[in-house]
Amino acid sequence: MVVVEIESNIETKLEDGKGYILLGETLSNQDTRHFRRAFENLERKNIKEIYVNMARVNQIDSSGVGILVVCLKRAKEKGGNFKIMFPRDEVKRIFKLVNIYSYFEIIE
Amino acid sequence: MVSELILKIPAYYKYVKIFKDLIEDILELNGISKDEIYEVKLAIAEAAVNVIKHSYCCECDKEIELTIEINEKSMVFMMRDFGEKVDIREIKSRDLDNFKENGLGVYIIKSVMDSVEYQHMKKGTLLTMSKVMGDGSCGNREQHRD
Repeated sequence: MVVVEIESNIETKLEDGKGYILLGETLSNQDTRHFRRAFENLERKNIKEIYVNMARVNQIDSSGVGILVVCLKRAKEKGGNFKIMFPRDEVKRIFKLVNIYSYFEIIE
Repeated sequence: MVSELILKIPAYYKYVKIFKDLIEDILELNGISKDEIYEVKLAIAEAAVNVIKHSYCCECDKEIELTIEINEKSMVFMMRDFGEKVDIREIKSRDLDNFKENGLGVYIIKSVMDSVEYQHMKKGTLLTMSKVMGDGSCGNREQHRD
């Protein structure tokens, strides 16, 4: 079964027990609230495998980076996985700039 | 190549993009490399968001003024706000080992700029950021772990 929910520019999909968060073009100060809600919805459903598809993200700021790290930590604390899919160079660059590139499992 | 420009935006997040777009155009016209433009845009946007969040406490009609000075050797960006004075001692770069969701912006600004200085004004705060042209090492950069 596939369940899809959309809030703002963030789409959440449940498929085969895995959670997918598909982001729009930005993950910035104004998007973090929606991202948190999407993540918490999956958490409430006890989804352990969460994939964040960043293929469309071309702008990310410190708030966007911050929410990703917080969610990664929360997922790991609960024994889950939180993986980043298809990040563009802009995203990888800021991950490297703030030394968090190695925190994430990245799927190219 | 010596230029000075003053840009002003109202303190709304949606206008921060205008700063970024204008800076990109201005720096491109001055022959600044794409890498440096990327880093400057990142720092300016983080600084402007911090002004809205902390000096003005929320979006409002007050101004954020950005003065840009470019010469052959360096770029200087002076961001002025007219809001609450933030305790300069509290403005710290993020310790990544104790990562929290907020506060990473200052770390980014200090990582990409060569010098960063906060100064209280009669009203508000002046943040002066400078970057030496074509200096890959950037003296003030944070220590990177990898």
